[in-house]
Formats: sequence, structure tokens, C-alpha cells
Amino acid sequence: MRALNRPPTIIKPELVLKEPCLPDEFQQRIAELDGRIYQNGLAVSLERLLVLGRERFAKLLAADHEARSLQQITGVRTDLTDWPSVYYHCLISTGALDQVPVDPRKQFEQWHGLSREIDEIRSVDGFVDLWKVFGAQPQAVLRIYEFRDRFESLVFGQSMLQRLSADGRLRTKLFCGGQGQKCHLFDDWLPALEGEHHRISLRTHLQAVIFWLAGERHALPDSGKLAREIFNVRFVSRSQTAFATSLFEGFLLGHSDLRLWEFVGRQTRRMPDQFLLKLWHEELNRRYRRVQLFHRDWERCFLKEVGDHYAVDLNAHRAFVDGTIARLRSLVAALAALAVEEVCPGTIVARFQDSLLCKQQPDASVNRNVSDSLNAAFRHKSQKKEV
Amino acid sequence: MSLICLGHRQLGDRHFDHGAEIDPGLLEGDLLDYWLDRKWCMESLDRRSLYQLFPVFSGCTHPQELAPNELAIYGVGE
Repeated sequence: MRALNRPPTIIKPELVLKEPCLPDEFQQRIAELDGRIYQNGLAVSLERLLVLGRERFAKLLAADHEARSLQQITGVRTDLTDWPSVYYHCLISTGALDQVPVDPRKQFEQWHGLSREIDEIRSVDGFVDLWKVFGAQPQAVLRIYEFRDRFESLVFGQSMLQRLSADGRLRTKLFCGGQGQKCHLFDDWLPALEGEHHRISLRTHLQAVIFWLAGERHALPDSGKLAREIFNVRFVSRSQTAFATSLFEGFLLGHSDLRLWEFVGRQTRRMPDQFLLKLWHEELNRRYRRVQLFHRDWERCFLKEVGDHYAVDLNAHRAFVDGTIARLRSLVAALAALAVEEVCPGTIVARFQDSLLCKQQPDASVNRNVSDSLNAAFRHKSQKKEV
Repeated sequence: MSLICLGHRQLGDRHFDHGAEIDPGLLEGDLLDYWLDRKWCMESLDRRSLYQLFPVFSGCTHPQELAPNELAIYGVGE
């Protein structure tokens, strides 16, 4: 009977991806720029780095003391630098894990192997997921996060010092298109650099890339305005703006339901209101219909046969979406760097996914040159690409 | 391994709260044994010493290496 009732054959839509029109010899020029950045390195003041490091080490001890003042949660044996120690001493022994506000899978779902992502979302797999027990131990979560931030920053600072060359310059591939958490850790240590530096930020390029991919014609929303709408207030706090920004980013990246809840929670380190998230996700879907349709089409390309029905291969889909968007964001950053180099040659000392670091004040015409260069590259040119 | 203060103690002009780490080298020899016997402090293998993890900034002379995955995630990298 099962063989007779096979699911109907579906024709998977062919994935059509827009690709930017890159200028001539783009790869060669960017490789030359990266080579020069790596070779020059960044001048770091050893003395200033040590002074900053000692100050921050004292603050790390203070954060450790603060976290341990909650003795019933963080006992003397808990190693706050180590996730398994925090997990067993602070979460399991205090029963905090039972208070993650996501219902476990029902018996029939377990029996039929459905909704497996609920188990992943319920799990607390590292410091990144500690906010999920915020409801159980809010003070402990805040203090452990403060300790972790200081600890990670010091690891970065110490590794900077250890990698410093004899000529006082730091050479690392992080400065040649680096992305992710390390860029934020580097920001903490900017005061240790020798001389004056200026930063060119690419603040909305994630939004711009996805709007371009989806063919969305609405203007990019302002996160402050969006926060005011969500919370129905005239003056928004920093945490409300962060919530609105994360919600919009999660929507742009195609997250929904519990995945969106997890994304926003990881970004803001607070327990998001599930009702508010659902309401505003629907509202964003309504406002930016093309983005919603774009993600729906992408998901359909990852349908696979599971028993007698089709289901989206969520892991493959997420890897593809994240990989594609990261690649396009890197291209935007690289194009912006080349545009700055055209106007002010030799000024860029480091380039990251969302900013450029220059050793002198950029020329006034930089903004226009960057926007011309990006407009020229991101014209509507479609290429068919198979998944 | 780290040396953890139990209860609130004073050593010279230094105050230690319960659970605070005592600087490596501050208590040595008979004085350390004296504190350990009276359970004023304990040696913990569970907790890594912050002083030893960041010897460059703490001035500790017995450094302890950070784990390779920590350096890979939070370090400057190649």
C-alpha cells in the first residue's frame, strides 16, 4: 500500500540567483590589496596594549567576583571560562534547564520523527544559548555574560600581543576581509593602535543585499522607526532598537517561528516575546512581500522526499542561504574597498566584512565613489545557478 | 589548578572574598599549608587560574596555555 501511495513527483524549481557584475580584474586587484594590507600590517603600541590589558584583567577579576556573589548558582568550583563546568554546576544542578520556555516535542511527534528542530531549539549548547535560561536565573545569566565578554576580549588582546612582530606591527589575515565575532573583538583593542585611524562603515549592506536579491522595491527601513512602531512608544531604548534590528535581520535571513525566536535571542541575549515576534514577522511579511516570496522559493528548492511526503532539508537550506549571503556581503565590502582605494590610494590598513579602517581622513568624494561602484556592480543581471 | 579563598580573608593589605582566586605565588610553603589545614583556602583542579591564563597582563610567572579551540575562536589567528 505504501508503494502505491508514493508522494506525487514534484518538479523542483530551478534556483535563479542574481550575481553582481564585477569590474575587470576584480580578483587580481583585491588579491593585490589584501597582499599589501597583510605585508604592511598595523602598527600597535606595545605599551598601550599592556596598559589596556592590565586594566581589563582587573575588570575580569571584578566580573568574576560579581558572578560568584550569587553563591547558590555559581559556586566556588565553577570554572566560568569553561562551558561544561557552567552547564553542570549552574544549569543542571539548579534545574534551570527545565525552564526553557519551549514546550518539548509531543509523544506522537517523537514517535513519527516530526518537529526535530524543537529539540535543537530547546537545547542550551553553549554560552551563546545561555539567554534561554534567563527566566530562571536572570542575574546569573547577565553576570556570566559580562564575565565571558571580558574573558573573550582578553584572549584576543593577549593573542594580539603574542603575534606582534619585532617591528611592532600586527600581521594577520583577519585584516583582509575578516568577518564575524573577531571583528568585534578587534574593535575593543582599537585604542592600542599607533596613530589616528578612521573607519568607513557599511551599516545596511545585509539589508541592501537581500533586498537586491529579492527584487524588493521598498526603501530600507530605519531600525529606530521600526522599534517605535513595534513597541508603540516615541522614545526607544537601546534594547528595543536592538530587538527591532535583530527581528528585521532574522526576517531578512528567512528565519521564522522558533528559529526566529532563537536568532533574536542570540543577538540580543534576552528572552524575546514570542507573541510580539510572531505578530511582527507577519507584519514584515506583509510589508516586504518579495522578500517573503524569495525565501519561499529558495525553500522549495530544498524539498526532499521523507517517507510519504516532502519536507524541506532545513540544514542544507540554511547552509546555502548563509553561505550565499556571506559571499555577497564579502563582495560588497571588497568593492567598497576598491572604490576607496581609487580615490585615496594606499589608505586602507584593514578591511572587514562591514567596515574599512583607513590611516587618514578619507576624501569627501569617497562616499559617492563607493555608491557609484556598488550601483554599477549590483545591476539586475541574472544567472541560473543549480543547487 | 587554582587556589580559591574560602570565606572572607585578609592577607596583608589584600582582601579576598569567598570564592575569589588567590594570586599564584602569594601563599607559599608553610603559610600555604597553614591556610589549607584551616580550610581558609582550597586547591581546585576544576577551575583554571585566570592569572595563569593571562600571564602577560597579570604578571604571573607560571603560565597556562589557553585551549586551541579558544585561540581559534577568539584569537587573532594567522
